[in-house]
Amino acid sequence: MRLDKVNNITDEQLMIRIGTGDKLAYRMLMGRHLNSFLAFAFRLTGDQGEAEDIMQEAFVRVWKQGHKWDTSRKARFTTWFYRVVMNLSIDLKRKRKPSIALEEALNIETNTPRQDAQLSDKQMAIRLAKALDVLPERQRIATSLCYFQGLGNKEAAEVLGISTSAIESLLVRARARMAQLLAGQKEAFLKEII
Amino acid sequence: MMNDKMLEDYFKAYKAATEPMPSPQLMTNILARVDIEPSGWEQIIRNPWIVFDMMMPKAIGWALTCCLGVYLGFSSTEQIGGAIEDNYYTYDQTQVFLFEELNVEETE
Repeated sequence: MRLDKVNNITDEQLMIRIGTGDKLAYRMLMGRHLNSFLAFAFRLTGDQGEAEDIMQEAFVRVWKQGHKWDTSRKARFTTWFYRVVMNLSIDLKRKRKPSIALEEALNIETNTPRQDAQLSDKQMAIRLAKALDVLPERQRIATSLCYFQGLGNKEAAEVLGISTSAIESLLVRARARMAQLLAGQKEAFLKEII
Repeated sequence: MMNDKMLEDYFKAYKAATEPMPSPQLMTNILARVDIEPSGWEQIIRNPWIVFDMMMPKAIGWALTCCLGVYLGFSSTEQIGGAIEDNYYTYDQTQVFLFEELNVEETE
């Protein structure tokens, strides 16, 4: 198959081929999406080992459910696959204990220097990870989909099964809470979540 | 409150730090699972009853819709029949409407 032809094949067409047991199509789909979805699972679980387990399970579902792919529904593969990875991550996270306590997360500011400009990228990433961990589940997922996975509001809303205005509202609240946490406004944050 | 630009810097730093490279074993494991697990059509050939499992949600959905349709159909005819019985009576093959307040003007 020529390279330009291969690139023109959509994910949905690959899914149909996977349904017939085409392993090459499966490899192609995995090559296209593994890295991006691994990052998504990693952001939701906070653990690379768990994220890799989720990816294994998610891709096995692609293989097993390819024959059920319904072209008449005009669904996008990525929307469906985001939902699969999201649900697996949520299930896994609910099974284990929370990775970070609320009190620990709220102490972000006191453990690190106050001046944000002096923080290294790594420190900033750690602080944001802690702030994200305190957010309600839907806000965290919406943030992850829109700001880190680069999805538009419409597709993110489809993944979460809510309206576009609802996702906009989730993002506004998530941003406000993260800004409060990172700026060390614990009281304002606690007042809002309790 | 932190400004938007600073928050964006945090987002960039976090995004860069949370894009792990898949371990070399991950791809091998995923492909190995595929060799073990049968694909969709292979599953159907091995166990044709899967087709019925797949059809079951749709079948239940259609059955419930039919039941609802039959119920609504019967309940609406009952209402119409009831209304006729309440307000009309038959007088020599003609339906006569019953008025509660019947104003009859006397004519000479």
